[in-house]
Amino acid sequence: MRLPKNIRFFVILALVFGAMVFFEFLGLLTPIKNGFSYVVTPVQTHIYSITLKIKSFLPSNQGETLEYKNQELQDRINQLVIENSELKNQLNLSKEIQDQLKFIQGNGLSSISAKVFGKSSDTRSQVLLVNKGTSDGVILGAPVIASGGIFVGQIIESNAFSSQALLATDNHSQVSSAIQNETNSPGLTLGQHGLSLKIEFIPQLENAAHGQTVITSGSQDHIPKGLVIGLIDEVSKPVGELFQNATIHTLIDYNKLEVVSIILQPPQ
Amino acid sequence: MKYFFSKFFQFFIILCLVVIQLSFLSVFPLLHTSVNIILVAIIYYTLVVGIYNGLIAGFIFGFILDIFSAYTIGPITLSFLITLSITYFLFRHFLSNNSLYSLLLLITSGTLIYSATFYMNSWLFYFLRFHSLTYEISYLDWPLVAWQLVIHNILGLIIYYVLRRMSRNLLNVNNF
Repeated sequence: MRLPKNIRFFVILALVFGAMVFFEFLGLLTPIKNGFSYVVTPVQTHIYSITLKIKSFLPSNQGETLEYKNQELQDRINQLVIENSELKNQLNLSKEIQDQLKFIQGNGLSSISAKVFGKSSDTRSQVLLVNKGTSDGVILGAPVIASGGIFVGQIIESNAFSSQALLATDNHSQVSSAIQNETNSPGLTLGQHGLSLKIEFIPQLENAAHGQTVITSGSQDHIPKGLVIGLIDEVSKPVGELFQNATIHTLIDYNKLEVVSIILQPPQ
Repeated sequence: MKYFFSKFFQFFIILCLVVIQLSFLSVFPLLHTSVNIILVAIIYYTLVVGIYNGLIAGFIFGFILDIFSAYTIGPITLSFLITLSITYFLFRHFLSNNSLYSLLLLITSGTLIYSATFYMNSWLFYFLRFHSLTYEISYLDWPLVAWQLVIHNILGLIIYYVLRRMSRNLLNVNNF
């Protein structure tokens, strides 16, 4: 029995779609994805870079010039926060952690610069597309940093020539963190609808306060200790709860990132 | 020869739209989160040239966008296919008068159908363990959805008045 033309078309389309999903599940589509990425990524990198430049030319009135200067000062403050954080870190480091750092440095932990060439095609995700992939040594879970040490996100997908970095502000992002205070209070930093960050699960008795620096705790795979996430903005201590939480002020605008660094893992 | 140039031009347009969506609009946060230029383009394309070519275009666009999404291959493609099928069904049975108003209504319904199907597909693929990301209903930003409908309708107007003049020479136009 021969199916009508329209039914046949939909059946073929469904079969092709099913085969595509199945091949993807088996990893057989990787060469196609790599090929496409190889062709399109350089073009996208240039377009993204040009668009950022166009955007940077847009400020022309005094208010926006002031905003630009303010941004420069903000960058300087960020740099000082990082330096301050590093100094505090060095002061607080126990011998065990120093050994751990020595171990990390001794294993040749290094980073690679990557250019941002866009954002995820799914507009609800906070995902950056970067032009370095597995052929450059990028692995899943690798942390992405900017401005010399500010944690931006983690690699969630990678092909040979490009990768996708889930920003810390995405709802799916969860980073094991610590607050730089007397006790290095632990917590979990979560993304908030792509707009902000929140640190939760801080024990009630810990002293969390406005202005304290939140850093990565180092207890998560691939993410080293001491990467600055942001500064505590507002602390909330719900009565009767075991934990307190706080909003975090990010130090950089994730929408203006052009170049990031991906921390590479030493060869096993 | 004309056929070859027509196909080449269509593929070139697909790549241009992908680059605009991923690398141009993404620099402007509000536009990135609220404008899906490719969705509007393929809805218009499907209504203009018919369901078969529209679904093939939706499949190609979906596959390319899936490559550059945080998900596995599939959710965006499937959402496009379902959206185009339902939108074309609405067009043939309820809004078949080829007017601007029916186009805007179809773009509005298409946008809402796409949002709903994408939401369901992300869950489906999550339950099938094809990827680890999914969305809760609380993640939905309703003002952004409303804003997206407005922007998509403006895009629909632009396409209706400007691009259809240019596209008549390049597409086998059936409607609009």
